[in-house]
Formats: sequence, structure tokens, C-alpha cells
Amino acid sequence: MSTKPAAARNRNRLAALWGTQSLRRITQFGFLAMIVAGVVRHTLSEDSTSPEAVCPFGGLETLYSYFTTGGTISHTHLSNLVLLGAVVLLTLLARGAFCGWICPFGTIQEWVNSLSRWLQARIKPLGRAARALRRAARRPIFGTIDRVLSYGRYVVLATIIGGTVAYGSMVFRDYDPWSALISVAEFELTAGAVILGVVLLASLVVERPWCRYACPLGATIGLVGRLSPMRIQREDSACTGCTLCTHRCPMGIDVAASSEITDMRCISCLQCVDSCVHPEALDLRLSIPLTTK
Amino acid sequence: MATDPPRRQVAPTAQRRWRSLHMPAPLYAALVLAAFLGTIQLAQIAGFWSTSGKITLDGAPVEVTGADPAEVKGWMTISDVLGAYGLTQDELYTHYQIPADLPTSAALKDIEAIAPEFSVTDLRVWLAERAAQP
Repeated sequence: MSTKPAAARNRNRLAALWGTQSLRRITQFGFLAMIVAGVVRHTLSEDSTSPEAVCPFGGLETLYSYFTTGGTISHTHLSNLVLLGAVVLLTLLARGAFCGWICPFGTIQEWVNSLSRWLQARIKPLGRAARALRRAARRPIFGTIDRVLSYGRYVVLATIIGGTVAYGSMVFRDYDPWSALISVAEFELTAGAVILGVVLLASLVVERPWCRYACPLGATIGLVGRLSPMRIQREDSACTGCTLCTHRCPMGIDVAASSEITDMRCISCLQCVDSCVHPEALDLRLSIPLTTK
Repeated sequence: MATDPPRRQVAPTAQRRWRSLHMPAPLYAALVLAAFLGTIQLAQIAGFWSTSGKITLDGAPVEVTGADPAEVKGWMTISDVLGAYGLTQDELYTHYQIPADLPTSAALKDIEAIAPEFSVTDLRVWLAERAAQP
């Protein structure tokens, strides 16, 4: 029997609602719901806004065309450019927050991984297999592979930008899993649909595989985010070295081994901060430039 | 005697160059939403917003003029292009091997699935080449 009075339990629930992860999940759900509503509307009526018109990466793909010809390439509009601007501003202010708080594709990968963990906790053989896999993944060689594969994002980004400038069209569209997902009602087996399937399957065992290894928008955000004054700081004097933060990071960043989390893979989900048992050891802080200590 | 578990090697705290402020989670969430949605709202107020190629920045419907093949979009119909660029249905259908029973009210983007030779990009190039001929 619980010894806590009901009023205290309700207060705790209210406090948890204002917790970082609750706020983040509510935000993620809101943006995903908007996209789902847009996809349904566009499927029912082609005259409604295409979900492609609200993809910030479309803005990056059409940027060169906009500055050189004043027009946008096929399937992109001014809205894509505005969203790209919004993402750049957000990244300058809040680092990787678009990936961790807004991006619907990141949210879907997170949910698939959460579903996998939920099943692992209830189906014992699955749980044992997953634990064995995680133990094997702690070998240094997998750390190196993870690190090397994470540069794949920049290769994808450079290929798309180069291809788009050279051909003046969305060269990535047929391979884009997000494009395949928002066109799911068309039931077409495209390369993008195959990649989408691979990403969703991989999400069962790896957190955010697309974000980690292939997302060109994530690569752009990582580069722009270097200029952001927002960062997670770790105080060595308060840190017990438990490495809970490192294990909780969905992007595989070794948080416990850094004094400032400025890694370009950081998606600002703040799960490391939330997992820390000493609130003063890990903290989200806003640096104020030109104010020396 | 019990001893503390070995402490993992962690990086020492680096010397910080600048002062910094603690950022509470609700404030961070508000900043994220304000920066993202605020930018979109400002762009809409400024009139720099369009989610369709069918409407101009001024809100007027886009019409095919026949002056520049780059203006041809996938949502335009075959008859739009025929009228604006002085083409006959037979010329277009023969060039791209489009089935003769396809009505001219069909959107250009829908032809791609029926006629493998056809693409909107290729149509633009073909129209530009025709316009350049004396």
C-alpha cells in the first residue's frame, strides 16, 4: 500500500507534466499530429497543401535555384524556404532542438524504439536477445563503426546539394524515406519506401538510425549548431562518473567524457540531463558571449 | 572495510570562457516553439509564404503564358500547354508516345505514369528548343 497521500501524488504528477521529457513529447506529438492531418487532407483532396511544402530540407534543396533564378525547383515553394529559415534561427538559438523536439521523422523512430523496448520488457526471449546485442555493441569496434557511419550524414548532404545544383531538380526525392512516408497512400514501391522500411526496422534495435547515419538536414543542423550559445555543461566536481548520461543518449554521444556537449550529433533532447542523479553535474546553459568569467 | 566503487575516468571540467545562465526546461520549450512558429508567422504576415505553385505571391492564380517554358508545372493540364505554346495535340502525343485516348484535361504530372518517355522537365527542354528554332 502506498504511504504517499493522494495530494502529494497529484502534485508529483503535475510536476512530471512540466518535466523536460513530458514537454518534449507533447511538442513532438503536436508537430506529428499536424503532419498526419496534412497528409490525410492532401490524400482526400489534392487541392490542399502538400506535406512536401512544409519540409525544411526542401528549402535547402531549392536555395541555390532561388538565388540564381528567383524561382523554386519542382515540389518546393516559398514555405520550404521559410521553414529552412525557421530551422536555422532555431538552431542558432537552441542547437539541435529541431531534431529532438520537432522533427516528426525523429519522433516516429523514437516511438518505434520505445515500442521495441516495451516488447523486450514483456517478451523474455526478445529481452534476452536485445541485452546480448547491447552487450556486443559495447565492444570498441562498434564504437568506431558508429563514429565512422555518423559521417554518412555529410556524404548524403554533399551528394544532394551537388546533385540538386547540377540537375536543378530534387535528385534525392526518390530515395527520401520521409517523402515515401508522406506519400504512403500512393502504395508505390520506390527506393525511398525500401529505405523507410530499413530505417523503421533498424529503429527496433538502434535509436534514431536515420538521424545518426544519414539525415542531411541533421548534418546541416549539426554544422549551424556550432554557432549556438546553448550547450549542456558537465561539472566534473559534481559528477560521480556513473555514465547514465552516456547510456541514455539516443545519438550515442559519450556525454560523461565531455565537459561541454558540443558534439554535432547532439539533438538537444536533454535526456542526459534528465537521467543525471546530481542536478548540478549536468545542466543546460546559455553562454553569454563577451562576458568573461 | 568497504571501499567506494572505482570512479570512471571522466574529462575534467574545462575552463569556461564566458559566463552562462541556467536554462529551465519550460523556458527552453517556450524558446523552441517561439523561434520556430514565430518565424513562420512573421513570414506569413510579410506575405513571404506560399505552399502551392498555383498561386502567385500576390494571391493571384498562376496562368501559363507561353513566354517561358520554365513556368510549366506538373499540375498544369495538357490543354493549358497546347494553347499557350501553339502546339497541336497530335504533335505532343506523337513526340512523347502518349496514348491517344488520354484526354487533354489530364494534368502533366499524371502523364509520367502512362508515357515513360514523358517528364515535365523534358517537356520544358523540348518547348525551349522549339521556341529557339527560327
